[in-house]
Amino acid sequence: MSLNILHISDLHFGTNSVKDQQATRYCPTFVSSFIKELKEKKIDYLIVTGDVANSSKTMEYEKATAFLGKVVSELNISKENVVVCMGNHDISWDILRDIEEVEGVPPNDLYKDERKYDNFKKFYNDFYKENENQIQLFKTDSIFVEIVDDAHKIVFLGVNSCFHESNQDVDHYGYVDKDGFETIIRELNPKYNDYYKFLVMHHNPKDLGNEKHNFDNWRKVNKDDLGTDFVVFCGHIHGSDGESEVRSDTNTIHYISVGSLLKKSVSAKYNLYYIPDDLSQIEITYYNLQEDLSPDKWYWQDQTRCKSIKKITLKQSEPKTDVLDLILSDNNEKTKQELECRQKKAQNASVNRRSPQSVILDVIKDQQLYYSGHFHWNTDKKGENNKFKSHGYIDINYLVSHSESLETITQLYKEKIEEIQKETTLNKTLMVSIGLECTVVGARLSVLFPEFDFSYMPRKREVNDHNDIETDIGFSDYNTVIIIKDITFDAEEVVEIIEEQFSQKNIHLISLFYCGKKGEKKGILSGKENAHFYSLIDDIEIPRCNVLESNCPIIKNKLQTIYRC
Amino acid sequence: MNLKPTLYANLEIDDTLYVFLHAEQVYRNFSLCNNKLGYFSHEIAERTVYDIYNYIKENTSEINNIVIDCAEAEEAHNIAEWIEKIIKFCEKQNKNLAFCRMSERLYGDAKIHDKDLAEEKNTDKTYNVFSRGCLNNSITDEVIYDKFQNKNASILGTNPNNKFVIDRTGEARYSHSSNVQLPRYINVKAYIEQKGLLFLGLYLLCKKAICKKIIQELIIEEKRPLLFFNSIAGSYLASVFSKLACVDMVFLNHLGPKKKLYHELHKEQLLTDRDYLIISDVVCLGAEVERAKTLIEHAGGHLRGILSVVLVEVVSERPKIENDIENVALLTLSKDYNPINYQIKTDF
Repeated sequence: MSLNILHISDLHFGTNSVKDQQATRYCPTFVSSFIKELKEKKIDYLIVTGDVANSSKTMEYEKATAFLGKVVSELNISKENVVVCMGNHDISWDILRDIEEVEGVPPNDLYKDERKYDNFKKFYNDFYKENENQIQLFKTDSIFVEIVDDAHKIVFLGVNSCFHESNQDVDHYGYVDKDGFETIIRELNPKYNDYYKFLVMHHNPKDLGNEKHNFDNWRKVNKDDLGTDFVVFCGHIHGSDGESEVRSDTNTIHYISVGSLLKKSVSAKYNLYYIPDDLSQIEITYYNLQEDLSPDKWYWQDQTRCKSIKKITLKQSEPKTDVLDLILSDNNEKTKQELECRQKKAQNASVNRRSPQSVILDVIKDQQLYYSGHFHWNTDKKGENNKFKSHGYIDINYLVSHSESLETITQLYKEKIEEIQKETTLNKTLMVSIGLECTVVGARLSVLFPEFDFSYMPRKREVNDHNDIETDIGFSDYNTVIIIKDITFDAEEVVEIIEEQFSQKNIHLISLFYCGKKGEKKGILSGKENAHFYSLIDDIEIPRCNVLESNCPIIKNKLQTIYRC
Repeated sequence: MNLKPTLYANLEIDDTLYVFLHAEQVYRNFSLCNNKLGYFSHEIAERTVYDIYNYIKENTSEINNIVIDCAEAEEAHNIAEWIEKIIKFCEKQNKNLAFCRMSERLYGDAKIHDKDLAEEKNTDKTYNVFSRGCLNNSITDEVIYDKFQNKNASILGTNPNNKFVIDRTGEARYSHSSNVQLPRYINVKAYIEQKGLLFLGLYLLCKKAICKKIIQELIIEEKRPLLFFNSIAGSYLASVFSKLACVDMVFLNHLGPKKKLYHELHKEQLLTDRDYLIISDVVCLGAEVERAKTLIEHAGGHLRGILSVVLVEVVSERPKIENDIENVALLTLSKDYNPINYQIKTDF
């Protein structure tokens, strides 16, 4: 029978302080979204690779117990099939500080004091208390738990990598009790000689190729008794990826990390491991929460295609071929099918995701940001036709004032600029925002694209309201200009700016809304050499009032919904 | 001229480079749209230290001292390799290097204890670690503010082709948007165009506002202050500041009769019973601030603070703003401190 293993890590549950609450994404919406996502998958095992709490405080563990209890009960996972290991944040510095101060224990010896585990121990034993399986009572041994699946010949071994952790700065690294570890492994070997060993521990010895810094003595530990191939599941580094360490032709250690599930400063992650009936391999799927929309629209995206290890071969007799090669190989029909299946899944995910454009359109609808009326705005044109006239108006002010919609709009511009960057070499580039609303977006973009210089200018119709300095662009030695604009009806206003300020440059004009006639969009800037027009949202067409103000029947007859300035 | 800072928030004074680790991280987090912590995110990513290492490697040929201020950076992952490279590079190039105000956890994450470096522990339990020479003065927030203010003043005041301060002698002495008579005009737009110093400035402005408790790490969105601005320069400052401080914005485009329609449409955005902060480029006589304050109070809001790039206090006739409204500025010009010789010639 096939197996599904869910891997989460670095929960960092905090207290009720404002700071701690701000740092976590733990909330009912998140928990239900997470559980809902997994409910249809039959999860057989849950592994939690440490940092359950942020500061090893009782209150933090109370929240963790509630959360993990809900996960196992809703996903119908037996607690016997749950491995929870401790992380460096699960060592109580408060207890060690007290011991140091009250008992005068020398700083160098503090890490040896097993009271440092007390708070985690209580949480651990409370969590498993209804479970009759006594092996899951807390131990401080270097291998603190063995969970054996005889049917699949798999054994999960919980490893204590916090042996040296204490409140002393010099003790802040992963470390296993080498002698204890080797002794236990030696004893276990005859029993589980032909079992696959899955090690579960907090610290990742690979540490993205930086082993010596993160895990002090892993390299020195004798692992021969663990068999030729084994897998280590870890956390700590707040990133999800894998790395295989080939030790000889027949001996490889696979390290798979998962990022933090709840810490708000990084995107939420979990991994899912699928082992088919024939136990030939572990298929890894790395999930990443996409949170660029409001919480009710969050979704989990499969990020596997960007990862180094996607599959681990468990049968030693199979030739060891790099998984990436397999995926790229045209001859491997099975892998091709699998790739197609993944692509399909990814496509389905993106179908479910609401586009940023529709998010903005919904805000406009919900907040009633479209004003219908008769608008005659001043421009700096001379003569009777000195008005910009339309039959509607979009309240961009609201959209850029509120952080959610501003983030979405910034993201839309960012993606478009990145798209332009891919197609064109943008050197000596100036980004210019037109008008106050666009400068709000432009400011964010100026941080996201530090390689571009940035400036701004008022709208043409507002020039007289501003200081003359604000109409100048400070320097001119640019090849390319990216213009950030909010609404474009036609090229008239833009052409004026281009001709006055940037006539010799390559222009990329990006407008948030194109509100002109559908068929006329292509013609915008078409007469201008080296000028390109892009719009991000085309769904709102606003009719123009094309008559002179003196002939406008709405003005003449003083009808309602006339807005003039 | 394309200024391409690879760091967001660094300060060069004489032969010393100051790098602000937390500020660097906070600006890099702008690209994560799911990171809504702004200044209140205290975790350092490997990439940030990697970028700092590369910047130091490429841009410090004239620099003898490098100070990496780690205040507010509480922890990090996978940075030890790059910290080590920075140390080795500085040793090889005979540069003095100091990591200041490292938290206990960051100190552990950076694995500095593996190395044979001089160190001292501050009263707040943070560490200063030195490779080669020690610094003469320890780094505090006040020291950083002073250094930034002096650097600001030198940029605004001494450059012979100064584009930041424009002499208006011989021209009309009133600007379009203000009734203040100024023989010298501070060109905030040019200051914004030169992004590097501004990013550090806005970060420090946010830090000051947090110290003065007008920005707080509040969890309830409804209790966060709203950021009010009313000019195009203000829109730039407010946009970056709002992301740092995790606050929403409200704006009216120039306060004056010309914008009657605009105000008519947007006046409802001023919310009753909310706290407000005004952000402005230059607060001179305070007339615009007064107008904004009237609008805010008319809507039932409360003005709690004024944030500005330059605060001018060179005239005693300046309208007095209530004591309970905090004023936070990057550069405060007063009768005693006026390195750019800024004057107001309005006949009071």
